[in-house]
Amino acid sequence: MSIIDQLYKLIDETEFSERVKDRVKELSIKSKLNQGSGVEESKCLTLEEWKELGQLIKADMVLDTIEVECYKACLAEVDKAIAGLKE
Amino acid sequence: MSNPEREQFNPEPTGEQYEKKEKAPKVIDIYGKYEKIFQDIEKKKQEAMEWRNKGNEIEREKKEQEVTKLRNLIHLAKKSRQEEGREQFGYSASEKVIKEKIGEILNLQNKGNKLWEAIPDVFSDASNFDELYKIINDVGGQVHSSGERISPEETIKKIKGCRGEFFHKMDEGLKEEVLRFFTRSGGLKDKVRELIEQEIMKKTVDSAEISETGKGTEGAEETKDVDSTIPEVKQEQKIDERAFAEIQDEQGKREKGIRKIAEENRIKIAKSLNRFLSRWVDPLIFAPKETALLGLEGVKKVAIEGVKDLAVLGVTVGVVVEEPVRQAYGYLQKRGAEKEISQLPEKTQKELEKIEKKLGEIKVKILFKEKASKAESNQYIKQKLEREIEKLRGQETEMEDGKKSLTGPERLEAITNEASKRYLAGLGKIHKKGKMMQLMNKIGGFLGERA
Repeated sequence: MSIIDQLYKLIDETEFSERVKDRVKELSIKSKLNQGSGVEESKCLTLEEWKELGQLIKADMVLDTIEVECYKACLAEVDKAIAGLKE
Repeated sequence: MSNPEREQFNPEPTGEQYEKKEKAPKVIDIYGKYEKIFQDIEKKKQEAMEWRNKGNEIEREKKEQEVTKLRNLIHLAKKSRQEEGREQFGYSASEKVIKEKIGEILNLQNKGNKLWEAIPDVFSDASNFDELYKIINDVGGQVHSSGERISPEETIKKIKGCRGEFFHKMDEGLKEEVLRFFTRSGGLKDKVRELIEQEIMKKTVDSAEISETGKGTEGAEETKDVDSTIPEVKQEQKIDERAFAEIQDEQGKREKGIRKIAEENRIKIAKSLNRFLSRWVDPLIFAPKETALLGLEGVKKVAIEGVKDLAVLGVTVGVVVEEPVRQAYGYLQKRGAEKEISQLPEKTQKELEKIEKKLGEIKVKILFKEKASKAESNQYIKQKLEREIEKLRGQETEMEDGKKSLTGPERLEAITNEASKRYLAGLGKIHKKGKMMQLMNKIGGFLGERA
């Protein structure tokens, strides 16, 4: 299994967004085509592509953080409401 | 430790000599360094001698010459030290000589390292990673056939990278590709591979033993995680897990407390919940045409589908973590969103600039611009609205004035539970993705080396 295929498998298991999955899939296809043209398997992914993928995953994490912060803020509101009731 | 030779040539000075002695600590410093190098050379010499005893006949003569040179240099160095002593306080005059000698010795020390690396199976004594790291530090890293020297720190860092979960899942060809970073000389590459395989084997056996003895899933999970054997990762994980457990505990208390209070304060809750929902849900209803501020659902949509598919125009959330904010903004720029940003009102643009300049502020605005038409956006908002109102209708509470509120304590509890569940799930996702990023960074490092 190539590095990109393995990465795809791992990403699939870790609830990444469709955007990340799509890009990895795209790179996976590209890598297979390259292999078909005789390019070495280990060179299926360039450093630039790897960095881009890293950026996408980071962006995913940013969005997760926003989601978490939002729920945190929501829970803080609940706490405030509860504190108000106790007064 | 006292040095009789030095003491012999250093009687207590007076007058001008005393002033000159002020410079003496520098000389002593150099002596200290010098002596350490001297000890290192002795050690290398010993190792070279050992190698000579083991080594092959063809190289022997050549190595012996190097050892003789080494011995001569040590002799010269000793002599220089004695001469330095005789001059008593002639620091300036002898400084040059000492530096030259140190330079020569250092050069020789490097040669000594190479010499040691040439010894077959220098790494073969290591029976675990700690021992291997020690040998790498002693040897001074690794030297590739191209002559490129790689520091012990870098070499150890790469080995740690290979101990990660991601590496273990690679097939043989890729493992070989990654292991190309390690030189074959001294048997380093083979030793790294051997220790990694041992580690995997040990983890598998341990994990099988744990499942047999029924020690519980938590323990088994921890043992399976090979990455956790790396000290810093283990430490980080411990902190994360502790923080996570604390949050879980806090959430548990919150949910429990709400249930009790909810029953006792039905109307009060309906009131405060109305206020609460007006902040989180009503913005969906009364959103201005183009700058709809989203509540939970909108943020969730941002999180799930990302900027690309966002069917609404703006999000306002309190963001505490500064790095993600910078990344989010950087990400927007990378996606070519500058043009869209430039079309935003001037006030909004200034806000975005503030994000860039003053990171980490609580309550920053992040505006995501999307490609959906106004009609599509309104349609989306309308649908969201209808669903939200539908949910609220079933949970009315009669207020003091006889009017019915759209919400009740059950709704508060449901919202809290849902938010709490999603909050924890979100933290879990970030934790997992963080680990994934760590692994990617390690592999990225290898790809960088290859490039």
